[in-house]
Amino acid sequence: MSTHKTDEVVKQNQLSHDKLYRFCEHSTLSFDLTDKAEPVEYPFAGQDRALTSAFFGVKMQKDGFNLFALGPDETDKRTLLDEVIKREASGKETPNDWCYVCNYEDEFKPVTLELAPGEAVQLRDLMNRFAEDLPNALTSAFESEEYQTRRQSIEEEFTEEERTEFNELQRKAEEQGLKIMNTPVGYSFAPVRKGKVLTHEDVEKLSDEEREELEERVQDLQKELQSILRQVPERQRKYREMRNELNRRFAEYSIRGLISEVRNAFEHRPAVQEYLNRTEEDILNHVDEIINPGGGNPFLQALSGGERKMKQMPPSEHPVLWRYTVNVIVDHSKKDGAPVIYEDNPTYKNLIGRVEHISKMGTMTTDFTYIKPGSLHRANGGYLVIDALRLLTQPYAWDGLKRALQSSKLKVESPGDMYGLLSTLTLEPEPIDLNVKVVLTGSRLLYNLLCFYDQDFKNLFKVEVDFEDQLNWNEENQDLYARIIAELVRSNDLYPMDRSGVARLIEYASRLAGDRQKLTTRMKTILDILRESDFWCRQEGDKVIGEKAVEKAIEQRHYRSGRLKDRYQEEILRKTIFIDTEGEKTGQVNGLSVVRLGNSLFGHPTRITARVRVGKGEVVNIEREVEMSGPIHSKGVMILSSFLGARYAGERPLSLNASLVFEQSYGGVDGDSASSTELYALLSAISEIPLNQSIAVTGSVNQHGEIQPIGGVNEKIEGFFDICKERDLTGEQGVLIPQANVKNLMLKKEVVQAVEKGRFHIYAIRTIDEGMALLTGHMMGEPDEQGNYPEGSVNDRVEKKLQRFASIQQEFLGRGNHQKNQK
Amino acid sequence: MSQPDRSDIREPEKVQLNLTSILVAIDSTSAARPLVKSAIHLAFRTKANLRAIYIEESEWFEASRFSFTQQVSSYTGELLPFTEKDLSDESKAVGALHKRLLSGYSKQLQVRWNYEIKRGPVDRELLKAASISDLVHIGRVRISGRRTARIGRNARYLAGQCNVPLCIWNEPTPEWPTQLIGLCTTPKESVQVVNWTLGLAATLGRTPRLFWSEELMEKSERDRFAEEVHKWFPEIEDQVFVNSEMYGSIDTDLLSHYPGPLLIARRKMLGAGVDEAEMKRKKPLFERLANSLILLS
Repeated sequence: MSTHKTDEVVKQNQLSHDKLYRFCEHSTLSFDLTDKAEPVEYPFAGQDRALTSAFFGVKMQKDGFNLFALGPDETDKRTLLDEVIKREASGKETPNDWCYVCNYEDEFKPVTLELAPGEAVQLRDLMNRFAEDLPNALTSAFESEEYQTRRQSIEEEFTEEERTEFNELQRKAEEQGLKIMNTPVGYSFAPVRKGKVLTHEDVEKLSDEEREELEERVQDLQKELQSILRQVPERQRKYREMRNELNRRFAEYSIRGLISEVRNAFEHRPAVQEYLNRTEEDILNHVDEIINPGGGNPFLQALSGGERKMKQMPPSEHPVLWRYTVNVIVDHSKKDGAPVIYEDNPTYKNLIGRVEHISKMGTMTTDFTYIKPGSLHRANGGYLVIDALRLLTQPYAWDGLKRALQSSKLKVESPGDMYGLLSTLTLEPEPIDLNVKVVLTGSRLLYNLLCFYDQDFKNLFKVEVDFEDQLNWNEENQDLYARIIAELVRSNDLYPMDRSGVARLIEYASRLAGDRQKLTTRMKTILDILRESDFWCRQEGDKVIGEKAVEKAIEQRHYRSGRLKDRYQEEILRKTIFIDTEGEKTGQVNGLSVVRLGNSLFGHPTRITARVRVGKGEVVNIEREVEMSGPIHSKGVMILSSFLGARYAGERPLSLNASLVFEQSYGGVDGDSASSTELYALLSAISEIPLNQSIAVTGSVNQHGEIQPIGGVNEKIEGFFDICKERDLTGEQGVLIPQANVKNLMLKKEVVQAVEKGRFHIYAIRTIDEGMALLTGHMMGEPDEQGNYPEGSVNDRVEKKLQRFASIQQEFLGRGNHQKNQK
Repeated sequence: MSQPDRSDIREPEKVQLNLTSILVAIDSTSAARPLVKSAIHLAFRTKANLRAIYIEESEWFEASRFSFTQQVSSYTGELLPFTEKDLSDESKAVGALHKRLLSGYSKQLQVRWNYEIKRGPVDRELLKAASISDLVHIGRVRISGRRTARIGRNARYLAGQCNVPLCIWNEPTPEWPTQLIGLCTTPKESVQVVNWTLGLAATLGRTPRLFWSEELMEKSERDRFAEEVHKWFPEIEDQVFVNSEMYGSIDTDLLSHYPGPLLIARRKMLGAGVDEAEMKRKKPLFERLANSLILLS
C-alpha cells in the first residue's frame, strides 16, 4: 500500500538514467587517431605519488633507502620503475669490474681485484696469454745454451773441486806407494808396486818398521779421504743452492719478459702490480711442475691423456697454470652507466652467487675459477629489481639478501655455510664491497606483513613506492589517459584507434575503477583490452580500432569468464534457486551478492529471510552458528541487532528471538553489504508488513539506521536486472542502493536504457526508514513528543509486536515462578 | 772408393736387429737400474739372451788381506771393515739386489737371463765376456745429484779394445731415446752404421736419421748411397754435417736440433781407441758427448 508520503520518497530517491553512466565526450579528446596523439613523457597516469617516491628512492644514496613498490599487479609497476631507474642509471658512472684471483698463501681464500670497467676482461686475457706462453718460455730458458753452459760450469766447478781433492789424494797415495781402489761400498787403500797391488806375502816380507810405517801411511790417507768425503754433503748442498739460484734467475728473467706486457697494461693499478709480484714469486716456486706437469707421474699423465697432452693443455686445465688465470665476476666493458638488473628467479644462488664443484678422482674439488656471480654482483653499483613474493618463497634468499644489504658486503657462501650447518672445507672468497639499490615489487598485503613481522625489512626498505589503483577523471587526466592509450597502441604495434574507441576505453576504465569519477590505473588490463580490440578489429577486416571493436573485446572478455554466472542465472530461472521478482512476502527480501572467482566477477540476488518469536532479545545469525559467516558479516548482524535494541528496547528488554539466514547459500558469506537487507527482513517479520519482492536491496547499515556504501554495486544491479530481464521486465522492478554509491554507477547500456524507458528503477537511499518506505509502501513513522509512533506506521507495528512479546514472556515467566513456589 | 751395393743395405723385411746375446755390465750403483731395464727391453725386442755380469775386482781381495786396510764409505765417510768375508758378503748382497732387479723386470717380458759374478781385473774380465756377446751394454759413472755422468775407466777400455758393438748408456730413465742418429763417414764404414740405425729403429719403433759427413764422403757418393737407402726407407731424414776435424768431431749446432738422440757410429768417428797421450791433449768425442752411444768396431 503506498501513500502520498511514500510516493514522495520514491520520487526523491529514484535515479534518472543520466546518473547511471558517464560518457566520455569524443570532442574532448585532442586527437582523431592515436597516431596523431602527442607523446607522453611518462606513460603513466595518476601515479604522481609513486613517481615522486621512486625518484627520491633511486637518487637517495644513503644505506637503508631501498625501495618497495606496492600496489595491485595490474598497475604495471615494473614499467614505471623501469623508466625511472633507467633514466637515473644512464646518468651515473659505470661501476668497476670485479674479479677473483688465486690467493697463493691460501688457495681456499681467493682474493678480489677491483678494476675499472673493461679492465677485468683485459687482465684475464693478458694473464691467459701469459700462462699459455709460460711453459714454453721457461722451457726455452732452461734449454738455452747459456743456461746449459752456466749450469755445466757450476757442476764442473764442484766436480773439479772434488776431483782436484781426490786427484791430490791419489797423487799423495801414489807418492807413498799406495793406490785408491773403488770397493763395493766405497774406497780403500792398498800398497802397490809397479801399478799392481802387493800380495799379502809381499807385505809379510817387509820389516816391522816398514809395515808399521805402511800402516801409518794408509791410516793417514784414510783419514784424509774420510775428511774429503764428509765434505761432500755440504758441497752438494752448496751446489744445489747455486743451481737453484741459477734456475731462479733464469726463471725470473723468462717470467719478467713475459709478464711485462701485463705490468705495462696495468702500471696505474698498484693492486694489480702487487698481484703480479705475488704471481711471479709463486711461479718461481712451481717452475718444475709448470715445465713438466704430472712430474713424470704416469698415473696423472694417463688421466690427462698422456705426457704430450699434459704439456699442451690450456692453462685452465694445467695442474699449476690455472693459478694464474683470472676469474672475471663482473664485466662492464660493454656498458654505459649503472647496471639495472631484473632477477626473475631470485633463488639464493642466483642472488648471492655460488661456488661450483667438480668431481676429480671420486672427490668433489673446487678453486677460485669456479666462483660464479649472482645478480647482486652484476647489479653492484646500480639497481636490482626483484619480485618480492618470488624472493620470499625461495629458501634462504630473503635472509641472504638482507645479510648482504646490512653488511654492505657480498660474500659468496652456501646457505649451509651461512648457517653454520656444514663443517667441510670449502672456499671462502674475499667479500666484495656492495653498493646496490634494491627494488622489490609486490602487493600491499605483502608489504604490510613484512612491516609487521620483519624489523629488518623496515630498516632496509625505507622508501615505499605506493601505486594508486585509480585516478580522478577530470579533463586533464582524461587527456593524459587518452595519450597513454595512444602510446600503448604505438608501442605494441597495434592498429591505430579512433576517438570512439579511445572514448569507449576510457569509459570502461571508469567501470573498472568502479567509480564514475575515477579511472583505473591498471594499465595491464587496459593493454589487454587494447590487444583484444586490435584482434577483433582485424577479424572484421578493419584498419582502425573503433568503439565497435572495443565493445566486442569487452563483451567477449565477459563471455569467456561468464560460465559460472550463466549457470547461476539458469538455476534461478529454472527455479532451482528460489528468487521472487514479483509480489510481496513478509520476512523475506532479495539481497544482492557479488561472486569473484578467477576472472569471473558477477552479482546475483539471494533470498534473505527472517523469523521471530518470543525470546530473550537474541538475533541469531544462522550463517554464524554454522561457521559459514565471516567476521564482517557477523559484525553487520550485530550492528542491526543494536539498531533494533536502540530503537525499540531503549527502556525495556528486547523480548524476541530472531533468526536470519541467506537461503540456499552453501558456500559461506562475508561482508556487511546485506546488513540493511537483513534489517528490512527482520522489521518485516516483526511488524508483519510484507516486502516488495520486485526490489532487490543492497547496503550496509549502522547503529543509527544510516545506509552505508558497499562494493560491487554495478555488478549487483546488473545481476538482478539480468534475472528480471529474462523473466520480462514488469516495470516495477528495481534495486535499492546506498546514496553514497551513486558515484560508483557505470552500468551497462541495457540497464541504462531500461531505466530511461521506465522498465527498471534504481533508488538511492540514505536511511533504513527510506528503504522501508520504498519496500513496503508504509512510512516508518516519527515519534511524537511522548515518543509514540503514528498508528499503523512500521515503527508502531514493530513496537506493538515487541510489547506483546514482552507481555507473553512476563506471563510465562510469572507462571513458571508460581509453579516453582508451589513445589 | 768402392760403392756399396744394394745387398749391403738390409731390406725392410730383414732390417730388424739379429742379436742372440746381450752382455750388461753392472756395478753396485743406482745407475744400474735404468741400464738393466733398457737392456731387458732390447732383449725382449730381439729375443736375445741377457747376460748380466758383475766383476769382483781381484785387487780388492788382495788388499783385504792386509790388517791395516779398511773401506771408507763413499756416502758417509765412515770406516767399514774390509775383509774377504766382508767383500764376499757385499758381493752376495749386491748380487741379490741385481738378481731381484733382473727377475722383477724380465719376468713379465719373459726374457731369458743369467747373472754371473766373476773375479778378476774388471776391464779384462769384461773384455773376455764381451767376446761371446753380440752387444755390450754398459753405463756411465753418475754422481748423485749431478746431471752429467762421466765415462768410467772400464767403458773407456772397452771402447778402445772391444770388437763387439758397445752401447754406453747415459739416460736417467730406462726409456730408449725416441730419435736414433747414425753418423755416416766413408761409404764402406757407413753400411754397418746404416744397418744398425735402421735395425735398431725398426726393432724399437723409433725414428731413424742419418747424418752424412761432408768431408768424408763425396757428394755424388753420398747421393747414391742416400738413394739406395731411400729406395727401401723413403721416410728416413738425412742431414749433411760438417766435421772440422774429420773423425772425432761433429756439428754440435746441428745436433742440438734433435733432443737427446742415441748416436750410432764407428769407434773411429767418435774418437774411441786413441792413445793416452792423445786423450790427455783433448778428450775424445765420445767422452764429450752427453748422448747415449753405440760404438761399432
